[in-house]
Amino acid sequence: MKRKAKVRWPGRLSSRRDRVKVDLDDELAYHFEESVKNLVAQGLSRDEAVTETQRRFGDVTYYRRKLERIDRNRTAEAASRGWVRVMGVWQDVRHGARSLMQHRSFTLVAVLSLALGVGANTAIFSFVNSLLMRPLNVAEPERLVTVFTSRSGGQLHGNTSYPDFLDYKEQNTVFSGLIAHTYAPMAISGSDRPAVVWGQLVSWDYFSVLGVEPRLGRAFLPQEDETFGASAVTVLSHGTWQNRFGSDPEVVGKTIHINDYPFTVIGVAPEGFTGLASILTPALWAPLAMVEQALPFTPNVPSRIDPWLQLVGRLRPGVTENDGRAALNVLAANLATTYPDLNAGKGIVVEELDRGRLGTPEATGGAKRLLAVLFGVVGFVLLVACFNVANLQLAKATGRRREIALRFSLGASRWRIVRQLLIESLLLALIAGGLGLGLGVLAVDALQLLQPRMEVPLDIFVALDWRVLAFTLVVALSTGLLFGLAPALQVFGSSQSEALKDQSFSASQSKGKARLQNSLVVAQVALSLVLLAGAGLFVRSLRNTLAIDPGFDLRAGIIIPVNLGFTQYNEAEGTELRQRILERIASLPGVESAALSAFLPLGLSHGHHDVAVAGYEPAPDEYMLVKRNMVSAGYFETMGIQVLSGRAIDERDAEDAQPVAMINEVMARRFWPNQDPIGRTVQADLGITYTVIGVIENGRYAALHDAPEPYLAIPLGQGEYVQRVNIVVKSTGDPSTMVEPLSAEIRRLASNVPQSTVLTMPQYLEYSLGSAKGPATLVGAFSLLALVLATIGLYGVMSYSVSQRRHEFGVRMALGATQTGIARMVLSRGFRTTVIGVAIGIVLAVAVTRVLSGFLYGVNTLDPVVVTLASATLLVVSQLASYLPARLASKANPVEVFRVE
Amino acid sequence: MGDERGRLLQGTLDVLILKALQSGPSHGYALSGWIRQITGGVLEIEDGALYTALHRMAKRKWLSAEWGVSETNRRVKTYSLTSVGREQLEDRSDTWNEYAEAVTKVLQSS
Repeated sequence: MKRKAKVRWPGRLSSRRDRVKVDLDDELAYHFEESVKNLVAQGLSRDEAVTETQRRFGDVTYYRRKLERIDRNRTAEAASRGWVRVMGVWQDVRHGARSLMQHRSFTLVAVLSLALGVGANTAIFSFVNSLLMRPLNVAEPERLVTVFTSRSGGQLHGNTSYPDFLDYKEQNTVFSGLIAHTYAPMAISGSDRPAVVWGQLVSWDYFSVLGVEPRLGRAFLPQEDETFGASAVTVLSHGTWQNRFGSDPEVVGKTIHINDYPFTVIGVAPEGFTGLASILTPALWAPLAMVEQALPFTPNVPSRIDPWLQLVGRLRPGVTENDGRAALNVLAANLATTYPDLNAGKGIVVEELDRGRLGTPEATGGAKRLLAVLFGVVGFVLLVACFNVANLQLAKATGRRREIALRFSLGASRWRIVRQLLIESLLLALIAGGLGLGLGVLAVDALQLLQPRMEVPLDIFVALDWRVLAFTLVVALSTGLLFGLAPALQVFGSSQSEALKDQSFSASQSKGKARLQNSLVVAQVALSLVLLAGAGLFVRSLRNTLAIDPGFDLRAGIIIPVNLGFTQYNEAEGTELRQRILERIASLPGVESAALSAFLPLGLSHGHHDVAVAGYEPAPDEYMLVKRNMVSAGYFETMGIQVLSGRAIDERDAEDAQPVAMINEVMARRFWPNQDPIGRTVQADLGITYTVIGVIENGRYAALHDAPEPYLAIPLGQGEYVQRVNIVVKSTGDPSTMVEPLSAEIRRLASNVPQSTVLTMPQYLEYSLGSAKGPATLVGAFSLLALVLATIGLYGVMSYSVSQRRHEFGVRMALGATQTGIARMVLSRGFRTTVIGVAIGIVLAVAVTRVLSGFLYGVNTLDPVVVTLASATLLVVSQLASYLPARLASKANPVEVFRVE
Repeated sequence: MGDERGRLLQGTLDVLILKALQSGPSHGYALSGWIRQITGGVLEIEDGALYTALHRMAKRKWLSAEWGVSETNRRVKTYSLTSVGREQLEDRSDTWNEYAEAVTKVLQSS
C-alpha cells in the first residue's frame, strides 16, 4: 500500500499541476472568445475586438502567472481546511474585536466601568468565600454542633471549664462524640528557626469525631490524653509538614519543640483541613493533657470556674439539634444541683457549627452582617457601572442602526445579527471580567493591609479558588450581557428601511431614548448618593470613635509583649527575668519610664475575676465578674492613667507585703456607693483579700465603644503568676525610632524567648479602631468609585445629547441666543437631572442606611449633615461633569450648521 | 494617493463581485460585463484583476467554482457565493457603502 502510494504520488502531483494549467487555459480562453465575439457583434473588426479584449484584460502574462500561483496554493491547501464551520464564529469574534477597537473610547469606558464594578464584587466575595464559605473538610458537617456554656447575667456563648467538659461528655445522651479544643499562640522550633504560630490543643478524639484521617502517621490515642504532661506528641498540619519539614515522608517520630518543650510528631493532617475557625489556621495539634507545656498561659484545669475550652459535638444519628438542646438543658440543671456553688446559673447552649466559624456566633453574625452591608455597597457600585455600559450601548445603538439595517438588506438573518451583537457583548464582558478579577486580587491585597498589626498575626487566608473565579465569571457575563446586549438589541425596534435613510430618527424615537438615558443617569446619581451617605455615616462614626477618651494618655509609647509561656521557665525564673528586663529597659536612653502589665486596655485578651466584697450583698444571680489586671509599680504613671484618690501601686507593694488593689470609679460606685472605698477590702483571687488603696479614672477596656466596666488592678507579685506580660514604655521622642533598639535589647536579654511583634502605641490603637476604620475606609472608597462612575455616566450623556443637538444650538444662536445662554441651558439640564437623582437618592438613603445602625457609633442614620454634604457633593460634581459639554455646545457655529443643511 | 485608491479598489472589487454573485452564480466574462455596466465605464478595472480576485476568493472559500458546459458545448467555470462569502459581504458592507458613495460622487461630478 505504502509503496503503491509512493509510486503514484509524483504522477498525481504533475497531473494536478497540469489540471491547474488546463483549467486556467480553458477559463481564460472562454473569456477571450466570448469577449471578441461580443465586440465583433457590436461592430468592431475582429482585430480591433482582439486588441480591445487584450486592453481590457491587462498584462496577460502577468495575470496568468499570478492566477496560476493562487490556484496552485489553493489545491495544496484544500486538504488542510476542515475549519470552515468554526470560521463563522471566529469571524464574528474577529468582527466583534474589530468593532470594539473601532469604538475605542466606548470600549475603554465600558470595560473600565464594568471591570471596576466586577473587581469590587470579586474582592468582597473573596472575603465572604474564605471566611464563611470555604468548606471545613470534616465528615458530615451538618451533624456537628458547637457547644457553649452560658452564664446567667454573663455570656450566652461562653467557653467551658475542663471538669464541666468531662461531665458533658460522660453524661450526655445525644452526642456520639464530644470534643474540646482551644487555640493559642505557640512557639515552635524544630528543624529550623523558632516562630510563633497558632496551635490547637485538643481532646484525643478530635480527629476521629470530626472524621479527619491523618495523611501520614496516626491521630491521638486515648491514653495520650489521660495523664497530664505525660505524652508529648503532636500532629502537624499539612502546611507545617510542607514548609518546616520539606514534606519529609519520614517525619513521624521526629521531634519539634513547642514552647521549648520537645514533642514527638505522630502524624500529619490531610491537606485542606485547617481546623474549625476561618481566621486561625493551626500549625499543629497537641493533646489537652499537655496543657502546661504547650499553652503559653496556664488555665486552672481542675477548676469549674475557669472556662477555657471550646466544644464541638457530633449528634447521634436520629438526634436533631432541638433534641440535643432539650437533653443538654436537663444535664445542665442536674449539674447545677450537684455543684450548687459552682454550676448554678450555667446553661449548655448548642449552635450550628458554621455559626462558630469566626469564634462565637456573635462574632460570626457581626462579620456576616458587615459583609452583607459591604456586598450591598459593591452591588450598588456594580449597578452604577452597569448603567454606564447601558448608556454607552444606547448611544452606540444609534450609529449601529444603519449598519445593521444594511446587513439585513444584504440578506443576513436576524439570528446572525443577534449572534454578532452577542459575541461582541461577550467579548466586552470577558475582557472586563478578566480585568475585574485582576483588580479584585489587587483590592484583596490592599484590604489585607487594612488588617491591624497584631502580636500574633491572624491567618486570614484569602485565595482565588474556583468559587471566586466562577463568581467573577457569572457576574461579568450576566451584567455584561444584560446591560450590554439588551440596549444593543434596541436596533430591532423600528422599521429597517427607515434606518437606512440618513435622518433616520423621528423626533419621538430619539426623545424616548434620551429619556431612558436620563433615567439611567438619575439612577446612578441616586445610588451614588446612598453610597456617599453611607460612607459619610461611617466617617462620622469613625470620628466619634477617635474622639473617645480610652482612659489613658500615653501616645508616645511602645508595647513589648514578653511571653515566658513560650519557654519552660518556672515562676521564680520568670519573675526574675522579667524584672531584669524591665530594669534594663527603663535605664535605656530615650525611655522616660517603663512598667509591666499583664493586660492592656483595648488589647485582645483581658483578665477577669469573680470578686467578693465585704459588706456587699449580691443579688441572686448577680454577675460578680470584674476586669482584673496585674501591674508593676509605675504602671499608672507610665500609661497616663489618673489616680483620683488614694495612691498608686508602687515599690512598697511587693509580693510579701499586704495585698492591695486599685479600682476604677465604676467599681467604686457599684460596691461602695456614696462611700470612700479606700481602706475597704475585696476578695479578688483565690482566698486573697486586697485592701483598696486608690481610685483611678474609668477607661475603655475591651473596646472603645463599650461602656466603662468595673476594673480592678493588683500588684503583679500579689496575684497568681502570669507568664505573659507587656512592657509598657513611655519614650521621650518619636516611639517608632525606639522599636528597633528595644527589640534588640529584648533579644539580647531573653535570647531563648521567641519575640512577639513590638508595636508603637499608635499601631497598637489601630486594632481597637479597626472595627470603625475598616468599614469607613471601604465604604468611603467604594462610594468614591461610584461617584466617579456616575460622573462619567453624566458626562457621557451630556456630551452625547450636546452632539445630537448641535444643529439646534446652531439655529438658536443664529436666532440670537448667546454663548452663555446656550451653556447655561446645558448646565441647567445637567442640574435638573442631578436634582431628581439626588431627591430619589435621599429617599432611598433614608430607607437603606437604617441597616447600618448597628455599625455606627454616636450617629443617627438620618444625620442631616451627612445627607446635605452628600447631596452637595453630587450637585457640584455633576456641574463639573456638565461643564465641558456645555462649553462645547456654546461653541456651536451657526454658519456651519446651515452649510451642512 | 494612487496607492490609497488601489487599496480601495482592491477591497471594493471583492465586494462588487460578492454583490454581483448574490443574485446567482455567474462566470468570469459575465461578471466583467456587469461591472463595466455598473461603473458606467468610469472606473476602469482590468479583467485580469477581476480574475485574480475571483481566484483569490475561491481560494479563501468565499466563492465556490464549478465547471459546466455552455450552449456552444464549451467548458465554462461558474462561480457562486459560499456561506463564508455571504458573511464577508455583510462584514464588508462598510466598504461597499464607501464604494457606492465614491461611484455616486464620480457619476455626479461627470
